[in-house]
Amino acid sequence: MTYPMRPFELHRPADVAEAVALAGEYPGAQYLAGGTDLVVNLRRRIAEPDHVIALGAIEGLGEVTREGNALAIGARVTMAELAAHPEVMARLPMLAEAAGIVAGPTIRGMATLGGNLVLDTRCRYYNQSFFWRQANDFCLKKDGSVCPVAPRGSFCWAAFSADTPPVLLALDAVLELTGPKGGRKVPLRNFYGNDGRWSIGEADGGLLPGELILRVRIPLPQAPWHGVYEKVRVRGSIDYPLAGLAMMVRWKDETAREIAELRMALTALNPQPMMVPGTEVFSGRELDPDAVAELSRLAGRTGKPMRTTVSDPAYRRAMIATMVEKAAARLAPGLGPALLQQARWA
Amino acid sequence: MAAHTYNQVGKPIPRIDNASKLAGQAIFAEDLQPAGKMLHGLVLRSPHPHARIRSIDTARAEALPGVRAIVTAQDLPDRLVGRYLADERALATDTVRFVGDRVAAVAADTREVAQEALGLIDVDYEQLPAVMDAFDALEDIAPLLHPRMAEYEVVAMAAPAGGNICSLNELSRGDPEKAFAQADRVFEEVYTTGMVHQAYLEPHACLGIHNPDGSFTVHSSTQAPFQLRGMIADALAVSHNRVRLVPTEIGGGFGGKISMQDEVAALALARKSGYPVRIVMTRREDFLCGTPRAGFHIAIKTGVSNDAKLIARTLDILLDGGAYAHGGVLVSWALPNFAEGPYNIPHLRITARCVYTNKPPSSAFRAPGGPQVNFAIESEMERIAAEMGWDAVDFRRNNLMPDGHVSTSGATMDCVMAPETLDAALALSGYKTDQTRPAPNRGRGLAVGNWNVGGMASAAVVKLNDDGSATLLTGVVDLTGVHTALAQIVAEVLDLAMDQVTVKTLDTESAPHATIAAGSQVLKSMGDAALRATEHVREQLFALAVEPLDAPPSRMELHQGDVRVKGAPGRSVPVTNLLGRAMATSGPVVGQGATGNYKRMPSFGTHVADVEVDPDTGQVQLTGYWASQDVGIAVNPVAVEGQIHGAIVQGIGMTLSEEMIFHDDRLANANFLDYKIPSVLDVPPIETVLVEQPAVDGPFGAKGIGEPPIVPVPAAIANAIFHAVGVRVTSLPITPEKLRKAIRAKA
Ligand SMILES: Cc1cc2nc3c(=O)[nH]c(=O)nc-3n(C[C@H](O)[C@H](O)[C@H](O)COP(=O)(O)OP(=O)(O)OC[C@H]3O[C@@H](n4cnc5c(N)ncnc54)[C@H](O)[C@@H]3O)c2cc1C
Ligand code: SF4
Repeated sequence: MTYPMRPFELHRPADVAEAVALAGEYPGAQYLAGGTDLVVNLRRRIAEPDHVIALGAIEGLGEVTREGNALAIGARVTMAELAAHPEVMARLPMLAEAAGIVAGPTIRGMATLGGNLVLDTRCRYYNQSFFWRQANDFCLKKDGSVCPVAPRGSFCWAAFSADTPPVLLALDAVLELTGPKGGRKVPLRNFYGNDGRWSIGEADGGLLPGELILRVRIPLPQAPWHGVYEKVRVRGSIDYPLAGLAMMVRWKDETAREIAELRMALTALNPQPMMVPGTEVFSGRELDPDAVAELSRLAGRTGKPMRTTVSDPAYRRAMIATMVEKAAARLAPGLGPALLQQARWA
Repeated sequence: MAAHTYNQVGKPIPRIDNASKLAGQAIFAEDLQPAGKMLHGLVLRSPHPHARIRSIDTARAEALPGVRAIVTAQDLPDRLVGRYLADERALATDTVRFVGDRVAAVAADTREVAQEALGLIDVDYEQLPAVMDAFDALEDIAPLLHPRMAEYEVVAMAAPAGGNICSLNELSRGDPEKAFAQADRVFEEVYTTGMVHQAYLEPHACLGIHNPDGSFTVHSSTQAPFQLRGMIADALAVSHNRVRLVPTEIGGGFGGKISMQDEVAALALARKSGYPVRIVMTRREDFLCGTPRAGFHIAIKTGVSNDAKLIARTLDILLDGGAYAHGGVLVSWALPNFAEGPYNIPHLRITARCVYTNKPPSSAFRAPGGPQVNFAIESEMERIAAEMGWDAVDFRRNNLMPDGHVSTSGATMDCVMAPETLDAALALSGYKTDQTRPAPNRGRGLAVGNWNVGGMASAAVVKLNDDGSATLLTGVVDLTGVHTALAQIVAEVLDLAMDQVTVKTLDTESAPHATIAAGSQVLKSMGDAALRATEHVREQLFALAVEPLDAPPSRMELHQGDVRVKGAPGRSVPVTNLLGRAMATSGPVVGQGATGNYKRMPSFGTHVADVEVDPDTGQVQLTGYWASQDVGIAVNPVAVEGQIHGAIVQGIGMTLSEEMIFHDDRLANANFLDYKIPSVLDVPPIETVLVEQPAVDGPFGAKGIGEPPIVPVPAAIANAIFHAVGVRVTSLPITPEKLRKAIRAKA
């Protein structure tokens, strides 16, 4: 059974000013970049804008430029471009890694960084057809009043499930935004909100009405970060993350695995991508199996998977420690075998 | 290996339909656009798994501008129909039994208007308790899905057994209980498999036309034109010749396009509105209303003796049949015939029960029941060998059925090629029976599969055109490239080039009866019919040549457009010349051939899979795959390899990731993001070897190949996982979650 998309008017502005003016004129309008998320949502009627503003004709949002000791990445740079960009690969390999395992190759050719940053949160009760949601009495996030995931609460746990934001959080990226009410620069760490309904926009975080992401600025420090991105999904070829972790480390002494600074961020486990707080205390410590176990516990306190996926939340929870171990083993020379020695399931 | 001495048969000839499909010219049902006005039809489907319909009010929808007709059960004769058990209606009267059950249908000027109209039909449902699990359906307190089952007409094969059991089938030989008591060891285990969808590329679609003379024409993407025509005519209460079914190009079926879908709704709308009506399902609808592979629950018990012999086995199989008795009944009926596996077990009992649940009706899917049962059998062979300290390959070899084996159903099995495929797979993969693990978490598994192919009748006509080229007229659709093989057969017999043969699929009013394009039988059934029809043509040509060549037909042969006397190349006459004579005397040359229902042929295959398991995440990566398959003679080896590759990929899906998941009594993953078929990146390199030994019957010794290669896939992979990490997940699909849990439980 199929229900129609809600009709909308499509606008194709030629530049940023026109785009933002349109957004100001039509509250509730949505930007369309690669369309790999929005079009799916339109067809399911979980997105029902009256106006859609396509960004395809706007020039200048698709570049990666060096600006002093920062890299500025345009919002319309695709995942495929990001994954293969020489400077990104050289300076920020963990970002290239994350972008390179978003969805599958065809989608990566369309999917943009802007869309990835504000990917709508996902839930198995929400990412369904209108027919299905209607038959199931809808849910709190859209058209309904009860959240079947946590029926007694008034909170939405839909999971933010994009791959690049945890890396960008760890890298301390800054968003350059513009909107009907003017421009602003926001550290990504202050950007997202708490509730799955609004974590990427409106009430408690994310974009202000009509706001457009122009660029993402990433500082390039003198001593580079070593970083990796770990992702767990069902099919290695195309699926969204069930859990994702970015881990970055700067060594005081690499051969002794002595940490100068370590950062971790999670995705797909909460309504927003999250930095794991409390990793400062590891500076000066050796990244040894004990440290890994402590980091796992820390990360486990941050990641709160709920019944928002078909996969069991217990599995996603267990994957947090697994990802921490895998990431640490990839980053610290010689740590892998030591971790294996440890009786993890004792 | 047999030596081929043919011109066309055995050649890797590209599919004759490639060009039209690559150019986008092939016409699928969704492309059909009759001359003049056509309406867009949509079906209102039940949002509830089980409910009573108190009332349907179409008034608001009818008032919508652009709506041309709305039909409900009131517009149809009061008829229950079914291929095996007459238990369903084209449109529901008072009860709906699964989410997606047809309630009403709308035809409108545009699809959008039809969509809007659906929302304006008011249906008052009284929800009833739903049964979503086959075991629950067996409980005494379970709601009865079909309280009047006892009154249903048994059309074929079904053996209703009361309660929610729509078919109970059992076969046995010997005395298993006594043999278990005498066995040295007895092993018991339970295996389960998920409900999986065929996931063909093209969702169901049809176009219904009500003709001025009151008869009906329906175009449909179907594997089974004649069966479907019969069901549609029955539902409309007209004689079969009053429904002309025109099969369209078909974008995959795998057994999922045998049942009736929206055809009757389209025809009823066409009759009511006076316009042709096209109904095209969305992907979501096709997931909801398709006819998937039944989930199985298999209790298997095996008795062995210390000399590594299988002495006794019982298999108690519960099939989740879904809301209506579609092919689930056929599977239940067929199970006892193949569930003995590739082995010879003196004491055996196979019990199959197909039960109603409030899920989509399950039906045929590439070797229906085969991979499920083989998963249990071949997992057990490996487990028993490991526990007894036997070599698993020797254990199998020790028990494989011999040629001439008499099956549980009493049929004699000819051309049993089980040992040959086992040897071929071992050689191809370099499988070592004594091998130790190549690396931590890497493993290799093997499984021997059996399947019985074929069975149904067909007729065909071959006509010679005036230049000696030939056209095969057939009522069978081309699902697998089989039309290319049929053309090869005609070309072979008449010694024509491939482009001198056309294969034409005709509708049910024009073509003689044809088998369904399923059951790995088209090449045998229609191939034999085509072969006989072509031989009939040849006979007529030889008769015409007796006079000019002054030789008896027994001494003649066809050679590149001439009939000539064998061994005397100078004595020949052009076929065109003979056709001229025919026009003046006996008339145009038309051959006909037919084959009746025939005995199913056993077919075997042995597969070897290599995996790497991540014990932390439970993820399985396939790193290599080898398959040997018993094919009789490959009429077209590329087509045969294509079938093997495709079957393996589908098998990988049901083994590792595919499953229709029901949450809150509803299908939770009716889309290709959440219903996880393998993408090309998930598929390992596949190597195949064809074990060729001409089958006793079948055109040029060919055996069916469409289904058998899916049979051993789940067990081969499960055994590889066992080899890699020492644990066995007994339920399909083996998801990362389940495997990780099993690994942890062992640690
Ligand atoms: C099968 C499949 C698998 C997927 N797998 C993954 C995965 O593994 N990991 C992952 O991260 N994502 C995945 N995605 C989601 C999606 O493809 C990506 O997140 C992608 O980066 C979204 O970008 P887009 O350009 O297509 O966004 P769009 O669909 O065009 O837009 C998405 C949202 O972002 C807004 N938007 C877009 N650009 C801007 C801008 N410049 N300023 C303000 N708002 C903007 C839109 O208004 C919309 O709300 C998957 C999608 C599919 C269909
Ligand atoms: S978490 Fe609850 S409210 Fe949020 S999308 Fe899922 S079901 Fe709806």
